[in-house]
Amino acid sequence: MDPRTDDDPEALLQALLTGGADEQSPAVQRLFAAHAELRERWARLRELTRELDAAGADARAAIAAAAATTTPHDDQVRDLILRWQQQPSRFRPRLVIAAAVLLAALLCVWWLRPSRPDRDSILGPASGSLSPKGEVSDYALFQWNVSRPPEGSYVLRFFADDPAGRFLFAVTDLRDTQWRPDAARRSQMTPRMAWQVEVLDVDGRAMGGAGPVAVWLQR
Amino acid sequence: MNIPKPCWRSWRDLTSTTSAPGPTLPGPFRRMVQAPQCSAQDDLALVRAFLANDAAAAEALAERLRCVPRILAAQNARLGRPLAEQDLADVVQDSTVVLLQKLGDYSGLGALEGWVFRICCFELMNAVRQRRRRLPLDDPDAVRADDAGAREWSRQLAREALERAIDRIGGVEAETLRLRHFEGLTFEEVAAAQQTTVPAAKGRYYRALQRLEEIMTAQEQKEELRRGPANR
Repeated sequence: MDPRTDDDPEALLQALLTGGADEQSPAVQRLFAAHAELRERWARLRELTRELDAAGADARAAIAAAAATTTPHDDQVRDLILRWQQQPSRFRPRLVIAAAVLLAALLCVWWLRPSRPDRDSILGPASGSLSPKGEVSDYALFQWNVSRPPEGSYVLRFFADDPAGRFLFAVTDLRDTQWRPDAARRSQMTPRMAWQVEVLDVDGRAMGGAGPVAVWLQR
Repeated sequence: MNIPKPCWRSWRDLTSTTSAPGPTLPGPFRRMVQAPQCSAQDDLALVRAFLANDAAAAEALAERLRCVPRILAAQNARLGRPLAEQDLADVVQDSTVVLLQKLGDYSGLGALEGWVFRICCFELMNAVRQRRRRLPLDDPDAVRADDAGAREWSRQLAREALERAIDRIGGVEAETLRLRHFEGLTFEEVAAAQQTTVPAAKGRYYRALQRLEEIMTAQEQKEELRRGPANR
């Protein structure tokens, strides 16, 4: 018997169960006499190995016996296997589960994404471009792409595009996003000027705007 | 009981005198049907090739799985034929579908037929249970199994409980138990199959046995509680 098993019951049991020790040896018998609990555990585990041996031998015998026979269903399996492989798309539960998990993860990411604030919440209702800007042939039409609250209005302000930035005039109470100057207003405009849009709420408070942008007439 | 290990891979040889020969198999799979010496790793290669839609592998696997109806018929006979031929045909079909669905789980540590045998037994037992539930108690078919069949039923129940307990152990420890007792391998062969050392294989085996003993004891205690004190 391995000297290591003398004082280690677990090592002794393992050795007995794996062929490293003999139950009948005097050393093992002495240990069993000294430790009744060890003897009981050995008896239970040995019984279990006998059951496993019997089940294994039974299975091997059954398989060997089955090999020597034929049944009316022999070709049934073959047909099924060949049909199975010829299926164009086989249901694969693992693949479907993996796809579902991936989809759920993507939905979670989309749902929990940091919401991007709209431009109006930062800048007020102002956003978008002003037209005209830069060189133009005529001051015919002024347009802007700026939102306003339902009861709000636009104010256009015009300035001379010079170092002093002199204020020219303002056009108030506009609801549309374009304005066409009449002759009187045109006469107030300078060849180079800047203009801006401001949004007012129903109480006349400024909510933001766009511009100013420079615009000038062709020479 | 000293029963030699069966020749797992020799289905074609064993059946060539009793059934029509199958088609000639191309490539390496011919060896997997005919050569008795090929290993469980070859079985795994065959299964993987089949799952990769290899047509030759399908032919080879079809030959190998001819064991399914034979195992089922033999086990049904041992149980006193509780299932008629038509019912058995249904179990053959169901078992084959289950096997095909589970093929990806086959680990290649033991012979394919051993793995097939376990699944077939499980499916057959379930089919017999379902049939017993369907039949009225006064139906003569319900008690057709003779004493030997009843004894075999009890033995199969015990075997099923053992298999379930091994399944609960799971992992490499469960494989070690199966290789040792169901495949009949020595510890040296178990170590080689698991690509480990002999002491490591013995350690796994011992841990598995201890765990199995715990599970079986707990099952027995639960069963006794279920029966109640009057039946003890």
